[in-house]
Amino acid sequence: METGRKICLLLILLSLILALLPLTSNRSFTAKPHALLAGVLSNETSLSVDQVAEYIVKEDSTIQLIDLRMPEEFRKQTIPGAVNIPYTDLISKDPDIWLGNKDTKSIFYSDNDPEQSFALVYAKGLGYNNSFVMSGGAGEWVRTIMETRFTGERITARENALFETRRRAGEMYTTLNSLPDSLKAGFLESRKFSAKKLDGGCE
Amino acid sequence: MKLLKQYWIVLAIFILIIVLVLIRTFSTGNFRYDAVKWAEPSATGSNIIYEAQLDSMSGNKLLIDLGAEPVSDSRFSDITVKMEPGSILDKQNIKLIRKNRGPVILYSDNTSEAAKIWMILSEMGVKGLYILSDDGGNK
Repeated sequence: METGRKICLLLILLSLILALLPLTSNRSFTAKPHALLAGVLSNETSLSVDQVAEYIVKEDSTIQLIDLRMPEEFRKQTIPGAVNIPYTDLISKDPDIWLGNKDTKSIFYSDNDPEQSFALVYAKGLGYNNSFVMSGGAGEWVRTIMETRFTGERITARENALFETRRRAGEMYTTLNSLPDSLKAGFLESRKFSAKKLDGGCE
Repeated sequence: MKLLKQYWIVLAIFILIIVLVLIRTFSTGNFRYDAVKWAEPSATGSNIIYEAQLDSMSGNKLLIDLGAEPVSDSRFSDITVKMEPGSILDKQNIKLIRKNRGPVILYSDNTSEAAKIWMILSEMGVKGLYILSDDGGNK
C-alpha cells in the first residue's frame, strides 16, 4: 500500500515535470503560424524612413529605434535616438530587456533587409507585437533623408512639410555623426545609462 | 496487477499527460521549442547561400520561388516550385517542404519576404532551409 502511494506520487511528479519543463526551459514562439505569417507579410509592420524621421524630429518617446548592426557600424553612422542591439544579442539574450515595454513601438533597422526581417518575425513570434521595421534600413535612410533634394518648380504644402522633416532629421543626423568619436561614444553610453536609470520609474 | 487496478486513474492521467506532451512537442503545425536554436543560423549567416554553392549541395534540392512573377530564371526552372508567400503554410505546400529529402532553398526578388518566411519555417522545425542570395557573396 505504502509502495503504491509512493509510485503514484512519483508518477504525478514526473508528469508535472514533463508538462511544465519545456515551457520554462527556453523561449518559444507563442504566436500561431498562420497569424504570424499574415501579420509579418502585411505592410502594417513596415514604416517608411519618412515616418521614422517624423518620429525623430518630434522626439516621440513612444518609439524605440533599434539598430541591429555591429557596434562599430553603429558608432560610424548613428540615426538620432537609436539604440544599438546587435542582432546576435537580440537572439541570444532575453529580448524582454529591450522589448518588454508593450506601449513602446520597437522599430528595427539594419544595413541589410534579411536581418531586420528576421528580427521582426523573431520579436513578433515571441509575442512582442508592437514591433516594426524601417523599410530599406540604414541605406534607405541615407538615400531618402540625406541625399534627396526637391527639384521641381512649385512645392505643395505636403511636399514642403515632408522636405522640412527630412531637412531637420538630416541636420540631427549630421550633428550627431560629426561629433568627435570620444564625445559620441560618451553620448551613446549615457543613453544606455539613462535607459537603465528609468527602469525603476518614479514615486 | 492489484496495484494497477487500484491506481488505474493515476496511470491513465499520467499516460494522457505524456501523450499531450508528445503531441505538443512533435506537432508539425506549430512552432517548436527553443526559438533561439532555430533562429541561430540567421545570426551566423549560415542560412544564406549563393548561386555558386548550389551545385555543391547534396540531396534533392527544392527551390521555392516566392516572387510574384512566373519562374523567370531558366537556370533553376527544373528544380523550382512556385509558392505564394501568403500561402506557404497551406497544407500541400508545407507537406512538400517537409517531405523533401535535401536542402529547401527560398528564392525571391524581395529578400525581406524570403527572410520572414525562412524564420517562420525554421521555427516550425524545417531543417536544411536556406535563402538564395543573388548578391554574389558580397555580404
